[in-house]
Amino acid sequence: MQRTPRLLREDRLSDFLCALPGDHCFVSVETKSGTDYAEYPTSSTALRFHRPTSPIKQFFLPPREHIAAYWGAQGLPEIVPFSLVGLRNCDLLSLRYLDHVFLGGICEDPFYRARRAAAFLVSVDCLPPQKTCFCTAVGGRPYPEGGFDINLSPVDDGYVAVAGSDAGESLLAGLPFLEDAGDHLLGQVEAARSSMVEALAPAAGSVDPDRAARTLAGTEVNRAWEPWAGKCVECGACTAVCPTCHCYYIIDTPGIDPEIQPGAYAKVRTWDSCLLAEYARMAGAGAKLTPRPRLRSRLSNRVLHKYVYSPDQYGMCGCLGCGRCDEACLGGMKIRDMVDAVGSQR
Amino acid sequence: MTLHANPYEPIAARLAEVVDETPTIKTFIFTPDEPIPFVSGQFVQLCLPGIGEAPFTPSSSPREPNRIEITILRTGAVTEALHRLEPGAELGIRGPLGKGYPVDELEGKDILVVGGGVGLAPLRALLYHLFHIRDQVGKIEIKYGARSPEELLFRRQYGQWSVLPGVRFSATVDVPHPQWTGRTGVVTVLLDDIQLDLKSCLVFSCGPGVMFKFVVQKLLELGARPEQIYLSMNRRMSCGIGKCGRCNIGPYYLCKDGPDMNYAKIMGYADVF
Ligand SMILES: Cc1cc2nc3c(=O)[nH]c(=O)nc-3n(C[C@H](O)[C@H](O)[C@H](O)COP(=O)(O)OP(=O)(O)OC[C@H]3O[C@@H](n4cnc5c(N)ncnc54)[C@H](O)[C@@H]3O)c2cc1C
Ligand code: SF4
Ligand code: FES
Repeated sequence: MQRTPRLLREDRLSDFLCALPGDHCFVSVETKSGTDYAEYPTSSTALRFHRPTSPIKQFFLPPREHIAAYWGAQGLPEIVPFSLVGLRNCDLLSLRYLDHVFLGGICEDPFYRARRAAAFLVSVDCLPPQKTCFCTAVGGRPYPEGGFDINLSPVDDGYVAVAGSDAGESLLAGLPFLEDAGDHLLGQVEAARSSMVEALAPAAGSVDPDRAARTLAGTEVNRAWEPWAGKCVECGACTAVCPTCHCYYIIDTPGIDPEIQPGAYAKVRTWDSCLLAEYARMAGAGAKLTPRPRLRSRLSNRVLHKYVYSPDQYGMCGCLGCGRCDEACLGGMKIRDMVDAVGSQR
Repeated sequence: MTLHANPYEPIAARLAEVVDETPTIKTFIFTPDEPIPFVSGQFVQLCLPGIGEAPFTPSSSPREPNRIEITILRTGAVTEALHRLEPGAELGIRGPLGKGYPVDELEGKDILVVGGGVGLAPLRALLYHLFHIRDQVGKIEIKYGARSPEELLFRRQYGQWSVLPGVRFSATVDVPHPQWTGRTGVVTVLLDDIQLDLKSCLVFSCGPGVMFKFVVQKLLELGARPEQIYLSMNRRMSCGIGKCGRCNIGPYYLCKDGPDMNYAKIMGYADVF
């Protein structure tokens, strides 16, 4: 299907949002503390603001959900169609990463698959970067190039809307209030994109993923990690906000409601963090209860997973340059500083 | 939502029989509602409904997918609850999981099997397979170490194994008692007496992490190469399908790429043992 750029005027944005498919529509909004997602209708839709603080993995891998209900138990999550509005390119790339994990490998994760199929994705070009953004350093761009159903590029009078999927194109084609986007608007989009790339120029050389993959390899227990481990308070904030971190743990429980359904059982999955000491604790009282007893090994495992192991596993860097971990770290650490400091001590 | 196969949902299985092996180890014989065809070395997640899941490798022959034996050391929450079960109990099984032993590479090779403690359990599934294809492989040597004579696993079978043509079996204990007439010391003491070709054999080892460290060191000293050595690595696991992230060594997830790993693949990573 041919993809035609169209103009969506600012005063028609709410009509556009109302036309999106699904039982729910979550849009990026401005809050007191930054940007986040909220269910539409809301008065604080913010598409020209910086990226939301929280990662979009929450919509595809909820922090806690039932993933098995057996022997009579009921209560598996009901997954209904929904739209997500305001995704940035790094968010879309995080889905590409999570697709490798949850749709690839030896089998699919049926819950992730169902949510992916249920989601209609509307992305936007980034306007002002967050202070912590460094996507262009790790090969990203501050505007989507694929992976969306519809992308909105802010221009003076509104947005240039382009479909990235057949579903997106048929939706746009059916909206009578959209207008043709002339060449001058496409020129505006190009100019805005270039100035965003320029705004990110200071961060562009701040880390080199190919070089990091080489210099960090083999540093798992290197003492160079020690000073960084000294700053880490093991809170796990970095793994919670990271859009590609996906560790989880499965807990067996009696069914959803043991009173109503005795003899029924369920499995609940919750987010977990590889930085925590208990994460990989094994059974028994052997000499080594966890393969990574030292915090410096756990911290290095996390950073190496992004820069060294992910390219091997999934053909892409696990760090997308969104800078969320830098914002969240209680120890005030910046992932690029760690990569730089450890890599240069080899 | 229509879910296709849900990899987290267990298959129901009934506990048919419990065999006391040692003071701390029992073998549980399960009959699953559907056959669970596995390759030796592949493992399952045994699920005690409402209590917890833990990974175990069947110790029975892969040729019997309807009657699965699992030999389990009592060591914590899930295994203690398992040890309290009586025949007739209903459990869940997820699996088979993992790659299992490289059974396609065995042909024509001498095979050295080195086990420690309950580590002989997964190796027994391999032994059953090896005995089944005995005319296709070379010599088979089994070296086994346990803490004390009472803790020697599958004692009743050593005699049957030793009389098979081309098979040698020897055991050692760390702490002997007065009636013990066999070897004393950790399992590496048995590696001084190997009668097969260490330059071309394949080695399969399962046991505690410290044992691996010394076994590998000794084998390399004796002239084996890392590529010949397979270790059944123990890690905390949860999903069993390479997604939850828990069981990694470098880029490998042991639940998906192992648990039996070629030593050459993992030797470059830290914290292996
Ligand atoms: C591939 C593989 C094969 C194995 N094969 C065998 C075998 O054949 N025989 C054998 O004896 N051992 C085997 N093991 C070791 C066995 O898995 C452990 O001994 C077992 O996990 C111990 O569990 P536990 O609950 O008794 O011990 P614990 O020390 O209580 O627990 C071990 C871990 O599981 C967690 N856990 C315990 N209960 C729960 C719960 N309710 N919900 C969530 N998590 C919980 C604990 O937090 C702990 O970190 C194997 C291990 C692996 C990785
Ligand atoms: S956010 Fe910082 S302090 Fe918290 S666990 Fe991560 S690295 Fe450690
Ligand atoms: S147990 Fe989940 S990745 Fe291996």
